[in-house]
Order: sequence, then structure tokens, then C-alpha cells
Amino acid sequence: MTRQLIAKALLRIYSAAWRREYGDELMDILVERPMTIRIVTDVISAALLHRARTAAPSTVLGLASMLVVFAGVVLTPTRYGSSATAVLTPASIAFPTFTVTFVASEVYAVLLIVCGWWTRRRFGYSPRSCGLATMWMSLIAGLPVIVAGVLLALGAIDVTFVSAGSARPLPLAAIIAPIARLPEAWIWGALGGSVGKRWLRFPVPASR
Amino acid sequence: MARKPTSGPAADPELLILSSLASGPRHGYAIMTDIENEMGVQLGPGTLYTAISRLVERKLIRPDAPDGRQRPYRLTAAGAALLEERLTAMRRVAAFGLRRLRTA
Repeated sequence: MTRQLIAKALLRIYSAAWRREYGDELMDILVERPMTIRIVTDVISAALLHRARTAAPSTVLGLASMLVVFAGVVLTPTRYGSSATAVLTPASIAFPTFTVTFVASEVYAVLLIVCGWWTRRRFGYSPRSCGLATMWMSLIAGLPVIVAGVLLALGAIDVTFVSAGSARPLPLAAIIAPIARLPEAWIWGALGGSVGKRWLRFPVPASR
Repeated sequence: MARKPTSGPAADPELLILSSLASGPRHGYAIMTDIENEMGVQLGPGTLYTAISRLVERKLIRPDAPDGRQRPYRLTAAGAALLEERLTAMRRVAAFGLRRLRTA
């Protein structure tokens, strides 16, 4: 019974489509054989590799960007830090009042274009849909700041987010900062999708 | 106990699965035990089914009608051609290496 529960839990790591196709067969083998640590590790690593291989470009790039932003949130000192560790930068416009430093960088803009182009190449989506996929990427990237903003509002954490000399942002400003950049992400993503459509068209791999 | 081979052709689960299916259709568990008995390589069930799904996607093998909950898998013409090509290349490398070893 326990073995069956563990096997069911392990299968949940795979995508629903994969489980529909191969879930029953793998389940039978897992239930039939002794459930050792090696088998559990094998199934988990194979499932994660499968997830990475089949994930949408927006999810892959979003998670990678999220790690960068998350590292910034974790590394930011509770008092005012240097500009290098500042997660949020005061914006030069009225709204939003702050922007996520990494999300406002040139490197990130290039990543957004790559996301649009890659989505176009992989799924053949229209530039508009590539833009939407890129918004999804940007939302994933900004999640650590949104969560930190909520925790700040609840008083659960005390992080300044910004460099010395800047006004401390309100929690709502931290929550809004990544969300307010989503339309811009759409534009860069749509541009990347257009580039993929017009100039850099490679054959879609047959395995997809 | 699942043990992943570390190097050489035995490190490639896809090649091992194709080789196992060369003699006829088999379901997943039979492929695993066949590879274990014939090659001494223990493929983990996760590695096995992830490789099977990749081979099906690439149309190198295909599932037959289900036999209970298990489906036997069969080598396709493309799978057989790829297996032959890979094994021939490996035989050439092996022959070359052995020849050089003997003359050294």
C-alpha cells in the first residue's frame, strides 16, 4: 500500500500528458519491484529531465530569471545596501515608482526577445502569442519580488530592497513593480516572435 | 536496484532499448529484464520509460495493442535503420581500436 502511494506520488512529477500515455505501465513496474532509494532517485531525475526537455521556453527562461531575482531578494541586506545588491530601483517615471533592477536591465530585454523568438521557433505561435508567452516568463521572473512584497506587507520580513539614499518602497510598490513591466515584456516578446517569423526561421525539430 | 551505466554504448538507454527490441516486440518490464540479463546493465524504471517515450516521439519504436495494462513496443523501420547504422559505426571503431592494439 505504501509502495503504491510512493509510486503515485512519483508519477505526479511527470506531466499529465505523459502520465496518460505511460503512467500505468511505469506504475506497474514501480509496484512490482522493491522501492529502493536508487529507484526513487532514478524516477525523480528522469521526470525532472523530461519536464526540462518539454517545458515551454517561457517557463525555462522565466525560472532562470526568477533564480536571479530570488538570489537578489535573499542577498539584499535588511538595511540599505549598495546599488549592486538593490533588487528595486527608483523609476524615472510616475508609475510604477520602482522597477525590478534585473527586469529593467538590457540583459533581461535580450532574454525577452530570445523568449519570443524561441517560442515562435518551437511552437510556431504568432508574434502576439509569443508576446503573451513572454509576459508569462516575466511574471515568473518577478514572483520573488511579489511574494516578498506580500510578506513585507504582512510584517513577516524586513527588507529594504533598494540602495542607500533611495526612499524605502511601500510593500504595494514592490508588488506592483514586476507586474507593471508585463506590457513591456509583451512588446519585446512580440518583437522576438516577429524576428523568428521573418528572418531566423529554422526547421522545427521533428521530435516535437 | 537501478544502476546507470557510466560510459560507452552501455550508457545510452535508447540504444539498449532498440537492441532489445531488435529480436521482436516486448513490453517495458520485459525490455528492462532483457537488458539486465543480456548486458548486465540495470536501467532504472524512470530512465527506461523516459527513453521509451523519446523513441516513440522520434518514431523509432511504436506501441502495439495493449496486453493488459502493458503495451508491447516494436521497432519501426526507421528504428531498425538507425540501430544498424549506430552498431555498424561502433563495430568499425572497435575493429580499428583492436587492430591498432594488436600492431602496437
